[in-house]
Amino acid sequence: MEPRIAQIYQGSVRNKLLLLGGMLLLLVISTLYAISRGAVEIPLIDLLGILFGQPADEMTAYIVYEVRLPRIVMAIVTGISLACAGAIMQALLRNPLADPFTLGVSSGAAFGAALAIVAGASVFGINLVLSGQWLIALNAFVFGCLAVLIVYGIARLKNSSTTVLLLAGVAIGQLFSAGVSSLKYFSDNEALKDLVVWLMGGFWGAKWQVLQMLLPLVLVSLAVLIKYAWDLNALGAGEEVARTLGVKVKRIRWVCLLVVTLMASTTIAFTGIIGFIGLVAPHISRMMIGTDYRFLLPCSCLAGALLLLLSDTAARMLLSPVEIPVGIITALFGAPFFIYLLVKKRRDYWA
Amino acid sequence: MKAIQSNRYIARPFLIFMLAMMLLTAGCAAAPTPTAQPESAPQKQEPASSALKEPEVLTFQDSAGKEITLTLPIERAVVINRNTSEAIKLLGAEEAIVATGDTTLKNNSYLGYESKPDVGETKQVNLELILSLKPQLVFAYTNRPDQTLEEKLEPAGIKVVRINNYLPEQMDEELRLLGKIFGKTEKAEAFLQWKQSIEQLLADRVADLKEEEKKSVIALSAGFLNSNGGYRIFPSKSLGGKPGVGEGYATILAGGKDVAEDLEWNPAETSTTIMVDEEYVLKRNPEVITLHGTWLGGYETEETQPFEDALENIMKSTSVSKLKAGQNREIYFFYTNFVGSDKRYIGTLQLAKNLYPERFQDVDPEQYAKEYYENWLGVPYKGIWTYSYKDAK
Amino acid sequence: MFMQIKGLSVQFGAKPILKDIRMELPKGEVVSIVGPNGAGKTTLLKSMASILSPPRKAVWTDGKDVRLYAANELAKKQAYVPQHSSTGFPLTVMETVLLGRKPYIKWGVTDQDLQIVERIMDRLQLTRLSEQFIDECSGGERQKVLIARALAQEPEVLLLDEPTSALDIRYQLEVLELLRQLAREQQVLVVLILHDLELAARYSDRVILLKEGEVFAAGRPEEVFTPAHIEQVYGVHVEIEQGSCGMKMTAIRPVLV
Repeated sequence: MEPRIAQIYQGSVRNKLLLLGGMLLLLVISTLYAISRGAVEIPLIDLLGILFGQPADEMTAYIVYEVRLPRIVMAIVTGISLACAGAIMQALLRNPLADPFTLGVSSGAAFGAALAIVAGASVFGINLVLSGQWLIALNAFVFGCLAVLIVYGIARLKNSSTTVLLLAGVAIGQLFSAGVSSLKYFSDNEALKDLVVWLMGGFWGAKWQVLQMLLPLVLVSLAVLIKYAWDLNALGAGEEVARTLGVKVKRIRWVCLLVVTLMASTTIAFTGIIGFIGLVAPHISRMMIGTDYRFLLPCSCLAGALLLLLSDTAARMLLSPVEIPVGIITALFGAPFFIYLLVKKRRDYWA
Repeated sequence: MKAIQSNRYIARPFLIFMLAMMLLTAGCAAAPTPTAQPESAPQKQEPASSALKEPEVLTFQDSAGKEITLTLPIERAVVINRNTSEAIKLLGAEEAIVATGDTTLKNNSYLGYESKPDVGETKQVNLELILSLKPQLVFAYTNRPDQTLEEKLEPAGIKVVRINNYLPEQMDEELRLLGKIFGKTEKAEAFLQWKQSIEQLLADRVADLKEEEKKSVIALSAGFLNSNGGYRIFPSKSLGGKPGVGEGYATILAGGKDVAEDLEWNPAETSTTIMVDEEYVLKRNPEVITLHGTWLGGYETEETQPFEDALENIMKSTSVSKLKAGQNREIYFFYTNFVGSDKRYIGTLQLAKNLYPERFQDVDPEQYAKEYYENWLGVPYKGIWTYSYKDAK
Repeated sequence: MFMQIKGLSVQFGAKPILKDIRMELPKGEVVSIVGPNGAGKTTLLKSMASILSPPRKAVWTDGKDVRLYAANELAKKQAYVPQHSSTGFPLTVMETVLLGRKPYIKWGVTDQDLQIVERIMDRLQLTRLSEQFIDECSGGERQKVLIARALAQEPEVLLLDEPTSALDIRYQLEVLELLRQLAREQQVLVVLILHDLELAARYSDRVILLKEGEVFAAGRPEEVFTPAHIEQVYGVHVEIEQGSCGMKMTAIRPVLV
C-alpha cells in the first residue's frame, strides 16, 4: 500500500518544521555563543549575573548590554532582512541571480547615503553623523527605491523580460557606483572618511535606538510577505498560470518589491553595504527546504541571520581585538559553501 | 637601457603613424599646417658662476635605501612631499622649488608656494607636467607615489629622491641631507640643535616618572570616531617592538603608558591605524584619550567651536563617555603635524604638559611653535594646533 | 450555454488579431480550436482564460462577464494549462498539484484540499511520483501533472494550450482520452488548441476553425473538416476518408496560388 497523499504531505511539513526548528535552535545557540565571546572575556557566572540583572561590574554590564547585544541583534536583523529581500526578489523575477545587489538597491542606497554625507557635511558641519544619521538613512532608502523603480521601469519597457531586468540592474548599479566614486573623488577629506566607513559595511556601533525602528519594520515586512507565500508559489509556475490561479500578479509584484526594497534599503542605510547574504542564503535554503515559500521564507531568514551572525562573530574574534570587515568573512565562508552546494546538488535551477 | 631602446623601437613607427594621421587630418581641413615642431625648452637659468667651477657631485643613500648621485647645485626641484617642501623652506632654499603637490598647497598653505604649479594628488601625480618643468630632481615619500615615478622620470634624466621628513628616526638625517643638497648645512645644524634641545627638555622632565605614576593613554583617529567609524588606534609600537606610528609613539615620548601596547603596527600597511573591538577599549579604560586628525585645526583655523562640537558629538554618540578619560574630560585633540609628524617635538611637549601639568608649569609649548613659525620658517604664527576638552564650555 | 463569446475583438497596436469572435460552448464538451499559424488560436485561448484581459462584455462564463469576477472566483470556475511548464524553481509533483488549490486556500492547507489532490493524483496515476521534483519527470508525466494542477482548481472550464505538442503518440492519446473522460464524467467544458487535425476530429465534440482572426467554420468535426474548408484555410488539397477511428485526412499537395 502506497502512503496516501495526506500522509506524505504531513510528513514533509513535519520535516520542514523540524528543519526550521533546528535552525532556530542553532541561531539561539550561536547568539548565546556570540554573547559569551568577545575581546573581553566574561566568565559564564558573570554573564548570567548580567543577563539576570545582577551585574558584578558596571563596565562589563555596559559592554554586554550596550556594545555586544545591539551588535548581535543588528547582525541578525540585517541577515533576516537581506536574505528575505533576496528570496523575494528571486521569486518575483523568477531569476536565481536577483538580489538587492543585482537589482541596484545596494548601489542606489550607497549613492543616496554618499550624497547625504557629502551634501550634509556642508549643512550639518562636522557633526553630520549625529544629526544627520536619519537623513543618511532616509536618503539611502529613497535612492534604493529609485534604483529599483528605474530598473523595473526599464524592464517594463521591454516586456518585463527578466534578462533585461537584470542587465538594467547591473547598468544602474554601475551608474550609481560611478556616482559614489565621483562623490568620493570630489568631496573633501572628512566627508570622505564617513563615506569610506559607510561603504565598508559592518555592525560597529550598533545602537538600540536604530534597532527600535528597524526591528518592527522588518517584522511587519516579514508578516506581509509571508501572507503572500501562496501567491509567490503560484508566481513560480509562471505569470500566466499565476493569473489563472487567481493571483493579482501586478499588485503582488509592486507590493512585494516595495516592501523588500524598504526593508533592504533601510537596513543597508544603517549597516552599509554587506554583500553576498541576499544571494546565498535563499539558495542554500532552497536546497535544504524546497521552493514552497511558506517554508522557504522563514528558512532564508534564519539562514541569513545565522550566516551573518557567525560572520560578524568571526570578524570580532579571529584577530581579536583587531576587527576584520564583516564582508570579507561572509564572502570567505559563504562562497566556498555555496559552490560546494552547487556542485554537490545535481539539480540546477538555472536551466 | 635595453628596455628603453626596444620601447623606442616600437614607439618610432607609432609616432610616425600618428604624425601621418595628423598631417592627413590637417590636409583634410584644407589649411595645410606645418609639421608640429618640438616645444622649445624653457630657457635654462645658467648662473654665471657655474661656468667657472668644476661641477660638485654628491652621492648619498635616500631613505628608501637607494644610492643617488647628484650634480650640484640643485636649482630646479619638484617636491611632492609636503613635509619636504616645509623642510626646504625652513632651510631657506625655497627658490629651488619649481612645483609642489596639492597636499602642500592645501595643508601647508603658509609656505607660500601657491604661485607655483601643482603636480596633483600625491599618489597620482601628473607626470607630463613634471616632465615639462624639466626639474633636476623630484622629492617623493618613500612609499608614495609608486615606482612608476622612477620608471617614467629617470630615463628623462630626472632623479627621484625619496625621503619622508616626518618620521622620528629619519627626519634629522633627512634634514642634514637636504642641507647638503641645497648648500645649507649650517642652517640645518642650527635648527637641529634647537629642536633637540626641546626634545631633551621633555626627556629630562619625564625621565624619573615611576611606572605607577604614568597615565594610561589611548591614541585614536578623531575622524573615524566622530563619524561612527569605530575605535581606530594609532599603535605606539611597530612589529618587533620598534617605535610605532607618530601619533601613538607620542604617548611614549610624553611619558604616558599606551593601553594598547599589545598592538603592533606593520609598516608595510598603508593605513596607520588599527580598528579594534569596542569592548577592548572599554575594558582597558584609559585615563587619557588623544585624538588625531588633519580635518580640525591647522594654520587657517581661528575658531574653537568646531572642536567643541566634535568632542560633544563623540561624547554623545560613542561609548567614550563611559571611559575614565571621558568622565574626567581628559581628551586632547592634536593636529596631526603637531604631534605625529614633523612638529612632534612641540606636540609631545604639549601632551606631556597635559598629562603632568605640575612638572611643566614653567614650560610653554606654544611659545616654541611661535618661534618655529616666526624665526625658522619666517611666516606669521597662526592657527590652532591642539585643543583640550577641559577648555570646552 | 456555459461559456459565451459575444463579439471578441483583440488587436495588438494597430494589428487586429481577433475580429468579432462569437461562439457558445456548453458544458461536457471537448472543443478544439484549430487553424494555421497566426490565425489567433493562442490569443483566443488566452483571452478566454483572462490571461489577456478581454474587453468588457466579450467573454461570459456561467452567465457572467469574466471581467466582473474576482480573480479568485474566476480561478474556481476555469483553469488553464500552459503549453510548457515553467522553468522557475521546481516544486515537487505533490506541491505542484496542491498549488491548484490556491484559489481555495487562505494560508493553511485543509484536509479537504489534500483529499481532492489525492483523488486527482490517483485518477491520473501520479501518486507514485508525488515526491519527485517536476523537472525530474518525463514530458508526458509533466503534462499530466499540469492537468492535475488545473483539475485541483475544480474548474468547470478547462483551457489547454496545445497539450499534446511535446508528447509522443502514446501520451497524446492518453491525455486526450483523459480529457474526453473528464468532459463526459464531470461535465467539464474542455477547450484546447490542437495542431493535429485527425486527433482534433477524433476527440472533439466541436471544432472551431480559425482563419486570420475570424471563425471560418465551427461545428461538429465532420461539418468543419471538409476538403473545401481545409483548402481555403490551410492552402492544401486533402483527401478525407472515414477510418475505423474517425476521419483520415491525407494532404495531397499545396494549392498553387
